[in-house]
Amino acid sequence: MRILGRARACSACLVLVVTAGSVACQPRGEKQAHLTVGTAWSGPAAESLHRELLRVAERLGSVTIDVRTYSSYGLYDYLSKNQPQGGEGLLDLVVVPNDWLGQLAERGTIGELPSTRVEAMQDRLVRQAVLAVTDRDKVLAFPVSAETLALIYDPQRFPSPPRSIDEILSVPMQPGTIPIAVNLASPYHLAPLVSAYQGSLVDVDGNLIWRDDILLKVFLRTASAWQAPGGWRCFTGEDLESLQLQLYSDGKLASFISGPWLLEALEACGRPFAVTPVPAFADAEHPARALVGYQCVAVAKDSPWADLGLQIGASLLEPDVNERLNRSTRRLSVLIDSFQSQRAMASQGTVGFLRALEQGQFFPAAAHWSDSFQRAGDRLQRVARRPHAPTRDELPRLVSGGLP
Amino acid sequence: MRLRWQLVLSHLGSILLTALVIGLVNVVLLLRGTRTMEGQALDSSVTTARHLLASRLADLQHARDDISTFAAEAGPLAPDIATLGRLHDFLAFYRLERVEVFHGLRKEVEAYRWERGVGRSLATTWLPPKPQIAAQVAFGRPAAWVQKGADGLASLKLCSAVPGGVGDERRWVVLTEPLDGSFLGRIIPPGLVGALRDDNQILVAWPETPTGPDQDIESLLTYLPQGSFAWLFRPVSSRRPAVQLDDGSALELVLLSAPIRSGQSLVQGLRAWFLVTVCGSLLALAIGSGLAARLLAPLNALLEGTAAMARGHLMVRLPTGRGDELGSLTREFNRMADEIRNTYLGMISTLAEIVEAKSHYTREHIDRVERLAMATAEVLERRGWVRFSSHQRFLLSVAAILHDVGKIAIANEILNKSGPLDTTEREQILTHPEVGALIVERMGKLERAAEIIRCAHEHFDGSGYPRGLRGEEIPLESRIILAVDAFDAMTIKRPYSAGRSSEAAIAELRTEAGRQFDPVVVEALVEVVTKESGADVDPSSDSGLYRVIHSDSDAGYRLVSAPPPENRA
Repeated sequence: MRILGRARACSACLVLVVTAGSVACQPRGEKQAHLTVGTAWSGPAAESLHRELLRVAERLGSVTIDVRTYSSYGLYDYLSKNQPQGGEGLLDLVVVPNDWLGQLAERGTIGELPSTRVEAMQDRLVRQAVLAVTDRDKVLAFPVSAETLALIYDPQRFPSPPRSIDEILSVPMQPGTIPIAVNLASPYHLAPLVSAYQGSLVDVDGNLIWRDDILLKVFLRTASAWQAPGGWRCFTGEDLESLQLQLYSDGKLASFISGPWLLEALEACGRPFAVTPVPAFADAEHPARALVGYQCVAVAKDSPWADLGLQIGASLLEPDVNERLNRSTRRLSVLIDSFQSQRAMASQGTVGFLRALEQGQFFPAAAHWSDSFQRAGDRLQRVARRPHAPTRDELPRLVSGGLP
Repeated sequence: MRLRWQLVLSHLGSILLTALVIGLVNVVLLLRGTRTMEGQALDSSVTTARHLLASRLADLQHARDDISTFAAEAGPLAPDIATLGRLHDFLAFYRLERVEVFHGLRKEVEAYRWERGVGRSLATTWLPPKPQIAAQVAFGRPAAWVQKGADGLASLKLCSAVPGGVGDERRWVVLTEPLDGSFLGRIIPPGLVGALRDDNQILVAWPETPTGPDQDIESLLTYLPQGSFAWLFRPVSSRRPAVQLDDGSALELVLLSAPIRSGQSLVQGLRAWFLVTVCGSLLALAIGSGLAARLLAPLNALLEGTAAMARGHLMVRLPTGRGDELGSLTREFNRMADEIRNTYLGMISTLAEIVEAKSHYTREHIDRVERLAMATAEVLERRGWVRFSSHQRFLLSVAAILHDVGKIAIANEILNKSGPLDTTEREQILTHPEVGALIVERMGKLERAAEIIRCAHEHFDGSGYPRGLRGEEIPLESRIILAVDAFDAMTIKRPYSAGRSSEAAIAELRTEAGRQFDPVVVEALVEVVTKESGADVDPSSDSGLYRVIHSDSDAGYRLVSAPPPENRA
């Protein structure tokens, strides 16, 4: 019996050693989380995002984060066609505008946020921000910042904020100076001008209303600007915002429609600037209401680190992190606390964009909205791709989608 | 601890020791191999990064040439919208940061991208700060150099003369590529940390850290992921000149790889070694245990045989199949057991002869009773009635020899009286089984033989003596001895009597079967006698009686079921 007892004790010890050894020799390194974040943000915004993510990762422990930057179309293409279901190429987190969410969810690229996460963020965010990431009662992402377009103008040329587009166009300019520039290839930029004649751009079903006759009217009403010498390049072309900024900085552009992300560059350009909601045309029946979009952090459905991705997404909504991120990217806050404390209005020009945000019109995160918006953009691209400004006679055919 | 476990544990210990040594050697080789492989992987990454850097530099040179051609064709450039628009097209196409066109020392036009260049002091301070570059540019040759701004940020500058210009009025195109994290992040493979150095000063590092551009290589280490056993390893690093610039300096690329891979490799190696060792040990335990059991089997048999002999089992014999020392030991044990048994039997025979000498019986009677009893027992075994162990056979043999040893206490006159015995004499005669049993009991280890002797005059129907037992109450060996003794008494030739024939004796036995004798025993004895003497006896004249022989476990019989009728023939 004693020998049997010893044998049992030896067996138990052996089992313990095997178990302990197996556990001890589990390669913990394999559990090191590595998240890849995809964003269309570039330059300082992407660097700021990376910095904040590194801070969050440092706080979370054994997590490494790699940020990949894409062009807006590049990211959309990647998520639509190339996002793998696992492995190295998978983007675990994506920073995307809210109007992509419906399509991404429909394709199964991103998943729904758990209710606990939604409840935790609902009390801290402005209501519209939560609605903007909700499609059919499903909250799809963390909205981290708001953005809308406003008119950036030179206060030396316009002592008081312009009350109409016609007022801007009627101010006498030196030769080689353009009174106003708008990206004609982007429905987002044209939306306030179109809505001045049309009113709401969103129907009851959440579809984009984009009427050719009104678009033609907008083109014609601004024709004096884009038909001026060199004017067409201020309205179309690659890297348009850089050109507009430089022209504004050099005094060759009196005003242009752009987003809050340009504030940093405007502050450094050496020319005074002011921001006001985009004014309507003098004969318009409605105010010019810009579209209000949100930059959101969504978690890939197939990510092996989905829980960690949710945690990181939620971390970007912590007041300190979110404020730092929005301050450095010059985007607008989504936190109630930021507005109540007026910290969101701290920098020059932010108030103008916040007013534009108040007047703006929201659009759903539904897939059909994105589809119709993309179709409108494609048609505008066909007009904007022309190397030279079209004549007034060519415009109706171009705007209605005919070949040039 | 038993010898078997000592053998197993020593076997296992030697295997574990060997595995430990192999494991240590394995770890050393693994570490060296891992470091080598990591170094090679990092070298490969450096090569890739250098290639990307060179490729980017080539792009920038193409852009410089394109813009120079444009500037030459366009003539003096004014900062009008069309010119700026064209330059911005270049910026977008080549993903440039800034383009400047100089006329002599005067800036003719510049274009920049807002998202990266604004707010950074990257504008060119004409002319290049280094004399050799200024001289190179002055002679109209393209040049590339690194320029650091007042804010400490570095940029890569590429300059070339616009074709067609001469002397001081020459026109220049200068391109700027900021050496920032975005630039480096496109070059450095994922998962690595790196930096670009110039004159032993870090120009830019990736990932960009909140500590800013003044960070050193040590500060970069904190951004490497940590893994198992990371404390054991230093990160692997590789530094190589990446781009030779025209000012004579070289941009050096430094890459760092986390020790996590070394740790992971070590852990994987250790785990494999651990699993192999554990599995090997378990296998060794099983094999060692089996081998030890086989090796120790003869010793165990010897141990059991010795213990059996100590208990009085003199018939013990051990298998002698082995040809080694253990086989020799077994054979010697058997010989010793034989000697002891023969000596014992010799003493018993001598005692029996003394008893027989008192009566008219002869030594042959003892031998016959013993032989017939053993043969009858064998027949019973063959017929399936009973199974005797060797020790039981030995006890039967002893009892058969000494079945009348009690007569030693009976007076010769009574034993050899030819006339009828009176009551007193008869009572004295009836005591001899008990006396015999007492004598045999005192011989030690023969208690069972004594019991057989005690019952050797009990009759099957209960009419025997000394206790009047019946049927199954009487030990089978006693029933055998009773029948055999009676048969021999009937057939023995005495001086005054010729003795009966075997046939007559058998007939008598069969007549008394069920009364004085056990019918089964009688039939077994009949078979023995028939075969020995060739007596004309109907071998099939079985009494028809058969039964399962019952016995208690102390008797030592192995219970058997009744055989099928065809086997009972």
